[in-house]
Amino acid sequence: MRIGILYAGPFGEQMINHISLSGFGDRIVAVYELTPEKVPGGGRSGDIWESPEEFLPADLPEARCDLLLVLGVQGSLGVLVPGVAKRWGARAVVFAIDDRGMVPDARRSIEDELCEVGIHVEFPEPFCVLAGSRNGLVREFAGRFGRPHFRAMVDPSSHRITAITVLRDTPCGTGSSTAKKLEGLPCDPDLILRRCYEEHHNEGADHCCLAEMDPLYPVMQEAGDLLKDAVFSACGLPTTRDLILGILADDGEITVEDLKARVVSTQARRQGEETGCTAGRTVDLYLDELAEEGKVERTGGGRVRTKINKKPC
Amino acid sequence: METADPKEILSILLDFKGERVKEFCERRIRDRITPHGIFAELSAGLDEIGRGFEGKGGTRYFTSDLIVSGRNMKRALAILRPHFPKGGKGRGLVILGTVKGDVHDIGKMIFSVTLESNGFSCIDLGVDVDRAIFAGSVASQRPDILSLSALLSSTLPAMGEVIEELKRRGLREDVKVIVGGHAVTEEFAREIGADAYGRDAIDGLKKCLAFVGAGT
Ligand code: B12
Repeated sequence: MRIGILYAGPFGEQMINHISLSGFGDRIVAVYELTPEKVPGGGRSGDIWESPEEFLPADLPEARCDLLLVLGVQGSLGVLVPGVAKRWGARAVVFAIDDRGMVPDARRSIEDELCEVGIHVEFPEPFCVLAGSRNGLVREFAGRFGRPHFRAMVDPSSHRITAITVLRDTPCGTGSSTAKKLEGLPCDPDLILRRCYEEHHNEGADHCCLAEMDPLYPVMQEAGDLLKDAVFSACGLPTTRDLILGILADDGEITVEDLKARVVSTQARRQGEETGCTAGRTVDLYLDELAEEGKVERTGGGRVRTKINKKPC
Repeated sequence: METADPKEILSILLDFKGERVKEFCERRIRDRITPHGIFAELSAGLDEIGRGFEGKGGTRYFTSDLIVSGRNMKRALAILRPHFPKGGKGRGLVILGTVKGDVHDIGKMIFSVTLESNGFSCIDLGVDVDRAIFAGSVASQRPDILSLSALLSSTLPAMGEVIEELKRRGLREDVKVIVGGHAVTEEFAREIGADAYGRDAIDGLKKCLAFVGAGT
């Protein structure tokens, strides 16, 4: 698979650096920094919507790729992505959204334009939610980068984590950097949880999560939740999904709002209480996945209920 | 000596590997710029990034740019720490912290290094500090000065709440309170009953020296 990348800023650079150093370096065939300064008129002219091809930067290199990654490009330049995808012969595009500023203007028309010429496109939000795809190219990429996935070895006598293998790393590298920090730790949920979030949000670390953290758009928090739950799952500890299923098994049907009030805490775990995650978005994601797996059902009026029959006592 | 090029400053702050900041700091030290002067140059770049983050500047900046530039400021602080001009000894104890809800700590760290270089002992309570922790530390450590930082307008009220908590516990008269940070103004400091406002680390140092009777 040949990968082409449109990027901007340190967000894009950190991802490219990590992906290259994690065994995908020789697949990257083109990298171009797409910023407003490179686009005629800074890309501000309304005409950019009429004929985006005319606004492609003059120094855009010629390249041929299969998968086009869009990393950290500002949303207003999203309109140029179909043109680059076509020019580079891409058959699939992954447009990462880790910040409201990266949400492409008129995302729908970008999707339609790409779809018309048979180019598959996905907008993972955040990037590390990507776990699979019906498209083979995206699936191949997501086999290595996206939603963190680990295998952990826990020593049964000392109850310590003796090794963690990264099965899928986050594109920014927090997955593998966190895993390194967990080896040797006792398999204690509070300790592991704290270490996961600390390492994930650690702005001093080279692989820190770079997603937006505004409580109104808490994608960094969601990314941290996915990482923590991946580690918990690998260590055989109860994940947020388990907690959601447990609450629904007890209560049958509740409002999503009530469910979030019980599962979400900005500290992830209140003193003496079991809470699962730090962002409401994470609960929505898990509910969608559980619904797809046929385990829960959204019943309208903002309510949700279990579809798993209670085992007879 | 040439003034720093704003474009170069931006690219140093946004260098995700943080390799260029070392070269820059070392060069500016050789140019005989003081550490505070170098921070002022870098801070001008941060202001530009902040404006772009708000959508006001020419370039649009994201949270990722705030994180990476903040990381590089901390690298600069580590490099410049030994170069802070030193003076004085045993000038008193200062407890510092960034108020509840706010995780910005670079300015506070610069202020803390400035104080230490001038003979103050410092205890840094970190970021996102609850008023009860501030008050508890004042009660147990008996500092001469309490330094509060806030960079977000939304966390300004938390500053006033710390002062109220000190009053509630009968500690207000035991400690001088100085406030500062991007969101704070002189007027706000007066409003909440702080003893002083520091526009920047040097201004804050002058006020702390005056508190302990060692005015410049
Ligand atoms: C780096 C940065 C971050 C980094 C901080 C990393 C870190 N470890 O500190 C990160 C990425 C974490 C961050 C996050 C956010 N940030 Co921010 N951030 C900045 C940025 C670019 C630089 C801050 C900085 O370090 N400045 C340099 C230091 C040296 O300046 P300073 O702190 O003011 O300190 C000086 C003086 O004020 C003084 N001082 C400081 N404290 C004290 C105390 C005393 C007692 C004294 C005397 C002096 C003093 O001494 C220092 C040296 O002279 C600013 C923009 C800017 N220009 O400030 C935005 C900025 C502060 N952030 C902003 C925002 C909105 C956010 C977020 C809400 C973004 C989001 N949507 O998620 C989050 C909030 C997270 C939280 N809960 O706190 C806004 C705040 C707007 C407002 N008025 O409320 C700003 C102003 C950007 C902008 N223009 O929009 N940010």
